[in-house]
Amino acid sequence: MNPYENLTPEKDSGPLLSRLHRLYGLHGYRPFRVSRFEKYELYAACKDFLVSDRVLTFTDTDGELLALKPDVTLSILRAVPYRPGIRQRLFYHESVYRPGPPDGRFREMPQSGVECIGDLDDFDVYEILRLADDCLRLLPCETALSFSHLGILRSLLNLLPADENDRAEILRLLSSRSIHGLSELFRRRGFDTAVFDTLLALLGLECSLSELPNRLRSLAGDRLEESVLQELDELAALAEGDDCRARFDISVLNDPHYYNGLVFRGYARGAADKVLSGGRYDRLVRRMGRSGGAVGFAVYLALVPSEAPEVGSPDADVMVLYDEHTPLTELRRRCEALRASGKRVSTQYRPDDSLHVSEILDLREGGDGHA
Amino acid sequence: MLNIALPKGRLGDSVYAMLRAAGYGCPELEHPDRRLVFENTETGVRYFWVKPSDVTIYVERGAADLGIAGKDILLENRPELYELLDLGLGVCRMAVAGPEGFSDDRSRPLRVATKFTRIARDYYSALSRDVDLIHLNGSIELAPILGLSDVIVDIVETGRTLRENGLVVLETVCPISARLVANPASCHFLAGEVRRLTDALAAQITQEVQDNA
Repeated sequence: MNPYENLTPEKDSGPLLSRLHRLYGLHGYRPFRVSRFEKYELYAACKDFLVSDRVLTFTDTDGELLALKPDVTLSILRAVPYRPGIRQRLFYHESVYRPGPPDGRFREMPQSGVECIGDLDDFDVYEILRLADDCLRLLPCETALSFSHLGILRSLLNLLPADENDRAEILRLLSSRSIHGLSELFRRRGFDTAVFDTLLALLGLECSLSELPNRLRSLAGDRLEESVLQELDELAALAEGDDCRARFDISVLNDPHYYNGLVFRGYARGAADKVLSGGRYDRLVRRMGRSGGAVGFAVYLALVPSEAPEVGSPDADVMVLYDEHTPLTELRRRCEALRASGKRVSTQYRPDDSLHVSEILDLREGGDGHA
Repeated sequence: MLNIALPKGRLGDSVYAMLRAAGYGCPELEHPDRRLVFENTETGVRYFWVKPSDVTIYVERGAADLGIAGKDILLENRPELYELLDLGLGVCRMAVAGPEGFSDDRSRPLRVATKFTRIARDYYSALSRDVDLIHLNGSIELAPILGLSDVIVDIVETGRTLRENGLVVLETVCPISARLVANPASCHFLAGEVRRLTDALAAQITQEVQDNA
């Protein structure tokens, strides 16, 4: 089944959504709504930040070119002014419209997510990773969270005489964990084998955030930018003794055009693709001419495995059957009495086999009139 | 239990032989009947045969944890998968072929017939060559013979089909071979099983290289 099909925010994730919103609220996030439509110029200026450069557009009655938003973060960033020294914590539940798998046709994709925007520090980044982990724990299945820091890879790539194409190729090969592909590329381009060996070691590294700085120092300390190690030291100190399940995975390479620091992805057993994705995206903030930084994530609601429905759970508690001999005032009185006792009532002229009900109240001529 | 999508055909047979030698045999599969799924609870693997071009779909959508797919399919479809090993099987190359003595007229777009439009587009884009891509589903060699295209981009193994149709390899686009691919989510939830199988296959490949040296 196509996981994106026939899903809208209203239909797909009621109880989960309530739990997510409650969790966001506990961390000081407040709800934020953006318009379903945006001026197309917003996306035209930031096409390289979008997952796809294809945007659904239409012309408004006044001739203005509008778009069904393919991304929520851009809209929020534009709508929220920078306030020095302040962090604005916002959560949303919106649909985005962009081409999606498997056939590349436009789809409505419901997302729930958080954005922390403003003058951030390492605590905000750590908190968002914890919040992502807590969100995954709310899903009705086994989940896992992987993270990386794009500064690690940036440090290593800066040691190579790699052009833009080489960099893109290395990112692609790393994200698909293709050791043989990396080996071939390094051989072909004559790149420093010590950097390849470091990448190989990092592909095999799996550890918690609190363990990461020491492991990195022993594997690649002299090749990494000091500022990256310092940031990771801060984050590791915050993570010391916590129960966050995030594990380091160098192949987590959320779009480096968009993100610049800590990045992470969440997986759910039973979901083919990642169900959560996020990280720090100061690059996008700067690109929009703004001060400060930003960090956030989105939960892809359409991809979350649904909670197993209770087997045999009824659609209604009582099916009330009536016919042309049943006084409608009597029907109304019986229905109201049932609803007053908390029962869900479905009135029918004849038994509906497609409805699962606990009881039948037959008010038809000859019926017993008892639930 | 690891679900593994095997490509039907000669490549699939070779891959299964490698898996069996690596300790992941499945006796049920060696005595085929009309079943589509075969499992060995002792080694914790469940195999199923699928059309080679469908392997990545099964793995990308999580119906299979692992699969064996040609690099041509991976380059053409760009599925979001981990590419864990080059199995060194089904070795061939993606190549540009055309009539012997073909000379490219750069004053007009090059007409290219292929099944692999994305690979061809990327290849010529890197060369800044303007091309008119013609997507065909088979008998690609026919296109330059009948004047439908100037050249073709296709998989070349021995080159025999090309020669028999008066065509020659003009350029190599990239080498092709079978790859072990994995669903990223499966690699998180079945990390130990995936790693053990990958390591066993890697050891088997090394052994075979040494045996053939």
